[in-house]
Amino acid sequence: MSRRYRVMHGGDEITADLAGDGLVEIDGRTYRVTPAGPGRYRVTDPDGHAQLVALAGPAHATWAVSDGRAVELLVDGSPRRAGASRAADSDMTAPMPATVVALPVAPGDRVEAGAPVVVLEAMKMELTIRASKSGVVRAVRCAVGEIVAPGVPLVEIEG
Amino acid sequence: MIRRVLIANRGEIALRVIRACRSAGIGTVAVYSDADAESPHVIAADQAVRVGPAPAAESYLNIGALIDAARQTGADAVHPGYGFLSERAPFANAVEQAGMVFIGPTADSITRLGSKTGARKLMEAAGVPVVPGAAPDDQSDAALTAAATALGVPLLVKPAAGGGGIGMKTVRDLADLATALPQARREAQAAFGNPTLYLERLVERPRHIEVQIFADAAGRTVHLFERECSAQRRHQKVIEETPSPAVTPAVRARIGAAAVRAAETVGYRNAGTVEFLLEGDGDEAKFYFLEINTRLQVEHPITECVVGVDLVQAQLAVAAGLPLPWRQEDLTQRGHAVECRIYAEDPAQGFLPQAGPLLRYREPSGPGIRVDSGVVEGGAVSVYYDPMLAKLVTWGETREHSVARAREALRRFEILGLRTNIAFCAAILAHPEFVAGRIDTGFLGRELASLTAAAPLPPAIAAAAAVHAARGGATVAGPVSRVTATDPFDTLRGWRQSS
Repeated sequence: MSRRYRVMHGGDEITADLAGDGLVEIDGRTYRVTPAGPGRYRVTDPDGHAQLVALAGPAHATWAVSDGRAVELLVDGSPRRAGASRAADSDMTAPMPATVVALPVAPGDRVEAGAPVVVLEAMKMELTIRASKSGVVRAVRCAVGEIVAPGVPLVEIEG
Repeated sequence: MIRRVLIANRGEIALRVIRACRSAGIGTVAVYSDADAESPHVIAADQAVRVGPAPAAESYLNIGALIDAARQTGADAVHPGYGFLSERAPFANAVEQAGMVFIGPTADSITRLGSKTGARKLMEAAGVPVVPGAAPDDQSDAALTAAATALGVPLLVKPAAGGGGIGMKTVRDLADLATALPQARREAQAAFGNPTLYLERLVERPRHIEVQIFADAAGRTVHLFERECSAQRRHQKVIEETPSPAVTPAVRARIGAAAVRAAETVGYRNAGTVEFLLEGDGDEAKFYFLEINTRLQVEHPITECVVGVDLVQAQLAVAAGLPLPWRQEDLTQRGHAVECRIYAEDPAQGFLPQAGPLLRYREPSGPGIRVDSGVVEGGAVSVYYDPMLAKLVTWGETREHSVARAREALRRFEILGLRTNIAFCAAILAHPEFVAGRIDTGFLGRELASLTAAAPLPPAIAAAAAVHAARGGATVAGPVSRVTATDPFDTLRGWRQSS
């Protein structure tokens, strides 16, 4: 069984399915990942080219460097089964310390599951938190400009 | 004898001086601002004294606080490093008046060489070549045209009272003087209230070549060859190398002798650098004096690698009154060295300085690789000071070899948590013009677009590693923050209260 992650990179979004045995499928291509010492991974692409990638940072806001080239990634949310709807996000929390840049909903609004409820920014990238279920917004527990901690519920929905 | 040195600086250069003192059996006193209380240079020194809040003007530039710190800790000498107070005569004076040794030139030399026009006059009188120029007393068009004809084209018409390129005209044909002179005169009057004009030969596509010099208290003066510093962006050096691919043995002998003459003219002491512009190629290349930097230079390690000397150790010896450790004929160059300055800056955003945590910081190592740095993994880079993190210096038997080592070392330099210029440095080292050694001071500016457009790491490769690491939601390896103690007495070895 594989687990699906959403990875933000600059303005782009990558869907990555993590299977067992360190196999990661991205855009139909399979990469093999093996640990290579503390904070370091050996990634072999489908053509058999391997490179070392060093990672650092909280699990969801990750810096990666390989061959002197660095990138910043946001790995969204907790792992979920491949094919599951994004609206199945169990909680509406920030996955990493982030700044609230937009609040598309207000208390009393009716929202559908999967609708954007909070837009966060971290590492110069935007991340949208979506409604976990359909219902009425009971409370918005953050404000635009506020820096929110990971794991703290941002919005409550009564369904 | 010097027994205890206070290092009036921070970062990598403070650590460099501390290391030299330790191997010479000399005690060390670090100073720090509130932003640096747990910095590596503070931990490395025998003692450390707070000199003020984070802004440099209130700490590292605070002469009173630095002298007090030296007195309180019983230091008998002060090393200024580079930057900060290193070229301020009042600081050298204050150190000497406090009865301590200033590890550098005399305050008088610093003052005389600190004025660009004053230094130019001194050098001209001593027969050191300067960029040919003229400011005739007779400022009529006819007299200026005669002076311009004598200088030859291309030339610059500059306001004599000016600076910063304001009112400057480039003349490539003497016939253009008829329009350029009245226009430059009007602009000089408007901008500086003085219409006097200065004519100067335009050195096109110059190289920035500097010569390391060293003199002892008895006036014995040597040079330690040249450094090529043409790879610079807005006068900020990025990559330096020695020997210069443009300097032939004949030119090296001439420029070295000129640098020694420049130093002797002002009775220079200790380490210094004579900067020149180099024009042309081969044995016929011409060089012109620019200025003397009255301090240890950031890029001194490449000279150390190729000449096989320890310049900081020599600074300590000479400051203590010992004779120069080398005669000119003992000094030779072996192989080639190149330095990449690693900055916390974002080349994609106009080289905006970056601040933040060093989530991961792993330096490359191996034969021919030297890294002088002032940061550690788990530390942070603040907004208060120069964003240089480290100097990567590689040595090889040939230029090709040292540059290849530098490129490989850059690939293995792992810095995460803030953006750096590592990929930019790698792009410079791979550029065909750099590889061919054909660079001038305009090279980086002209090639900036291609040098900052290096192919990024394929996001899928990084994403594959990141999701594998993120399974279970654990923290990716690498310290998120160093265990910090707010009270330095809790953690620091060799600490002594000094107030």
